[in-house]
Amino acid sequence: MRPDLTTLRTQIRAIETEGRPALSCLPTGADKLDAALGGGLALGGVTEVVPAAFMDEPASLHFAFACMAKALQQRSGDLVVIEDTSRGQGWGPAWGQLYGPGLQKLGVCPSRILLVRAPDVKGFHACLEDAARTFGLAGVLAVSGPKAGFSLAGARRVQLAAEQAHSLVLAVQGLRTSAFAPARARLVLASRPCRPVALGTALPGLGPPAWRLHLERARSGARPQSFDLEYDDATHCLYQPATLANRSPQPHRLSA
Amino acid sequence: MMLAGAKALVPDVCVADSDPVGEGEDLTALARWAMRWSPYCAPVKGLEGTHALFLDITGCAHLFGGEAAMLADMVIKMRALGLTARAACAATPGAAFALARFAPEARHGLSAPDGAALRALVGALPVEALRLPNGTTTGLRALGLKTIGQVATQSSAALARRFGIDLVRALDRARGLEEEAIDPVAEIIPRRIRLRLAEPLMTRHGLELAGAKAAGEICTLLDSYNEGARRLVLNLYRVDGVVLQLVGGSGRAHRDAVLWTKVLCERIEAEANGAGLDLGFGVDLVEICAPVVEVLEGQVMDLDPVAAAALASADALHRLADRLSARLGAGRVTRMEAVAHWVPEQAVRPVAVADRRPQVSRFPEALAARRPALLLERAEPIDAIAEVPDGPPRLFRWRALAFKVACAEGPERIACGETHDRDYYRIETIEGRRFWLYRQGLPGKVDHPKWYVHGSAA
Repeated sequence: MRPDLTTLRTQIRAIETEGRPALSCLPTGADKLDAALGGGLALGGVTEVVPAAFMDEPASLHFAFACMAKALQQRSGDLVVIEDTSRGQGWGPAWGQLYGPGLQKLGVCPSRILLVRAPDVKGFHACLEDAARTFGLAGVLAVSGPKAGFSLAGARRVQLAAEQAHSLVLAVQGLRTSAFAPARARLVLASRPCRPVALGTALPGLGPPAWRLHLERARSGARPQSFDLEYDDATHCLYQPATLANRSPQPHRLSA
Repeated sequence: MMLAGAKALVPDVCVADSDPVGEGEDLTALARWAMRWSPYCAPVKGLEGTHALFLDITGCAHLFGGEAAMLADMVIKMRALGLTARAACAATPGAAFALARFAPEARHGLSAPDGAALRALVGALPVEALRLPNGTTTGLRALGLKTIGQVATQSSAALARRFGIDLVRALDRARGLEEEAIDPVAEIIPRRIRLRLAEPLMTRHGLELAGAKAAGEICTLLDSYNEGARRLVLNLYRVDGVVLQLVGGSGRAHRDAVLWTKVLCERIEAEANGAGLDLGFGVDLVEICAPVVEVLEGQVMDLDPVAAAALASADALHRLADRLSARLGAGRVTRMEAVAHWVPEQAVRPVAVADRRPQVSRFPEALAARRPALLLERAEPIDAIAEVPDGPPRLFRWRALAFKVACAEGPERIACGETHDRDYYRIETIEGRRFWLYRQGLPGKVDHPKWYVHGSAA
């Protein structure tokens, strides 16, 4: 074999993902989802969260922060949130800006968040890559606008950077953002009516937030499937409600 | 002379309106540039139409080769800017002012002696040199007192009785007997380094090299004081009298020259890409100062691997934050800080990484439990159908979409003054989407309360 071909092979092997040590995972707490994802959200990889409909965009961010609450509990370091603000204030005009007290309710300590507002798509990509490459972060959350989709090469760079530093990267996409090709999993999120709490008032009270999550694609090889998920604000954990409890949406009134 | 008279004599005379405010601003800008000679620099205040700068050059003159050389340098540099400058150096600001204005030698810079020689020198100057209002000097001239020396021979009690105590004080100041405080244009920062360049810098690359050298020197200076900087300011003195300023911040005090160099280079690049870094005819003086410093004792390397890893990861985060805020601008990389305020939109304040204090800020748990994760910057009005008088909404229309409410929790009443009190409800629509709505105006006080949506993902 010619020597230059050998060096080329070693170079290619360095770029290939074959034979690399298996990446660890962060369990979300919902057992069946974790099993389908191959143990949980990938550490050292990008997981894509996509809303099922335009009105579900806040819910997908809500869910992403619920996952990040878990990451902040289990990992040291801070959470870096990168927003694409090329379209004015990014999600600002549409859904509002991240609000500290509400995030604290979800279990994300506001003083552990570093908020980065990238002025343009190019800056957004550079910041995400830089953050994904940084060791010792609890997680990186990228909130993309509709124009902030990655090219194939750009997405691959972020994925490799995340693999190097074993960082947990969640990309919360807009409805029309182009897909993040090398993502470890693509989760499509839809709102679902919660289980109401009977308060004795004309309208029942709010139960824990509930979502329907559709696993559209996963590198672990799991077939596409849906999960009903809820989030408990008190214990800060994501769980699948017991099927027995998932009865009629009408609240039970106590008889006098 | 009237303008009409002047125009009759010289028909094509050039006329411009007087602009005292603009002149004052220009003088302040010139004072900033003159900080290249001494940090204590201020424009002279109090007299209209008097354009002069005071510099306290105590301890500075030897850096420029002595007082005479320094004054000559000032006159030459000012002349290069197209200004006619006269410079004098004396024991007190008053004496220096008098000499610079009225001594003929001041055209090339006059370094005056102290004591009796100074009094003799000042004594020959006309009374206008006293920096007094026109009325007083005309009065003195009417009495036949034309020079400072003649005024000084009079008894001060008589002068005070006739012209007020100001004359006596001005006389002492001009004769080098009374000190005067000057109020510098910019903050005096003790931790500073200046690099005087033989040739003006014209390129960005040269600027980056100068920034790196300056960062290295200031870090050595900080090291000798056991301090670390939270912010570094790079002042670039252009040849043509403009001072450019670049500010680099850090979330944590340190004196690592390599990191500071990176931050400064990112700032230079961001400036060059953004508004454009106009170096004009070049930069001939680079000054770096550390306005915000913290005591930083040497750190012991941690031998425990877990603690060492935690230290390294905290370090990596700080570096990331510094890098990003240098690249994007300080206002774009922030942390949230809790503010004790009951109005929801004012309960959070974004704080730039470099300004953050190292305390953990938390919101009260009871309050956080009822807040949404996303808050609209400005609450948006909606059409809502609600129970009268004070029930939650049942139906509402927002952004041309109709929503039917399935669950509601509230109200949480927040007082915002009289008719602006708000009743907040967390609601969920039948599809499971969560919003945070409020009714403005309490039922008894307002006839038709308005409804707003203020947040989502409640």
